Amino acid sequence: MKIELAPQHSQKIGDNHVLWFESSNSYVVLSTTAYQLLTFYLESDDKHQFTFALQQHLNFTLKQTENCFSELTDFLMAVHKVKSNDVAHDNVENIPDNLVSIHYDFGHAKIRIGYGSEKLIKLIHPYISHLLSNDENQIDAEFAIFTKNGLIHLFKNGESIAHYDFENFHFLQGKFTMELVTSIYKNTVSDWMATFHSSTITNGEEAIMIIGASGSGKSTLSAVLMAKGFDLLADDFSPMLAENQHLYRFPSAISIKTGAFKIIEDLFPNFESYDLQKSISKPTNLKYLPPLSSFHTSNQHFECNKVVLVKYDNNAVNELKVCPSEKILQTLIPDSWISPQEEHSKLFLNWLKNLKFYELNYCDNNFAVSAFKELFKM
Amino acid sequence: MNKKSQDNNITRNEAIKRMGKYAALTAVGTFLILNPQKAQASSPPDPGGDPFN
Repeated sequence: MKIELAPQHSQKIGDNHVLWFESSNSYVVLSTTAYQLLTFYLESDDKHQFTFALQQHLNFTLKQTENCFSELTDFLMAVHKVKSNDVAHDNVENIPDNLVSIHYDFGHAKIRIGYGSEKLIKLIHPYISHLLSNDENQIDAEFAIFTKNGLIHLFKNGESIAHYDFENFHFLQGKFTMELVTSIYKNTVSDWMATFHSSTITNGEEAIMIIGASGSGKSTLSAVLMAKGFDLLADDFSPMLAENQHLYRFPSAISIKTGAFKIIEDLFPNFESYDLQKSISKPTNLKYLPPLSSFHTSNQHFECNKVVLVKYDNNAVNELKVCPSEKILQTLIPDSWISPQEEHSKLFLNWLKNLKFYELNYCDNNFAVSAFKELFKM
Repeated sequence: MNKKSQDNNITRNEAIKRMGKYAALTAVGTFLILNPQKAQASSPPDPGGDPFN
């Protein structure tokens, strides 16, 4: 119909086709038949030709073809609509001079963070407190995080990076983590293809990404797997570099909620003595478990060809099975940041092509550990 | 809290409306429109869990 309405990229993933539309940065997952309908639509000269094709090739009734035509028209309008960026605006040029500075050692990058309040320290510091440094002389990157005019501001090396309202603090934390990653690996945000909302573990040879809805047990499982000898590459925030599509290490501590304390205490004898913190964002208490492997001496990046959708449930039947791609993508894509650059989107679809999708439902941590041992052998 | 509940309801209703909107296309199999986050993010707080309130 109109070539400019076609997706910029299209890739067959398992039984589905995944399309990417640049103007809205939307990914669309279609079954083979739905993809065929779209192809007929785009290749037809007009509505009459489309209607004829559907009646001939798919035995559609006239009513069905009419519905498909109007829905495909609406759909293509929707995915070509440019989304607005509803970011709060403010012009803060100066960093307050009363920030509390804390120094951290990320191996090749020595970082200083100036915090504007005790609350901000409580929200950010526990994740990286295991990297605390006494060396205040060398600074490779300097961050400032403070509140002003009802917004939280992030500065890096004296320049404003982002500001968000309080409700969107998780975006500020994400942006801060991204900038920290660029300081650690000496590159820029545009070098990264995606940051996945996932935990990632490795066996020293390859990485497996763990995804799941909030409360599905990702963090507890990461801690359990770490205790059983797997290496935790990243928890909650897994960055992927465009150049090699490898997942990179980000040495954040795992935040463990009260409900999982008993399990973790059995695995990490010192855990009982860790500081207890009241969660500011969730109605629970927390303890922060740092990664076991040393950030300074461990391999920094691994290839990842497997992703597992996990769900812990007291009443679950333990099972590890192959998962349909659409079920994984439904969690993976909306939860993650995927660079909207055209070449990065192409790389993302290409990475998906070779990815194997699994689903792990479990009520027994020992079963989950065995399942991961199996997955690394596959 | 009330405002948040209302927002969640609107989102759910919109989701249902969207599914209905493409009924003929969803009838022939998977049809999902997925939008990644606009920016890098950490885990969002639980509903009603604004860390600054």
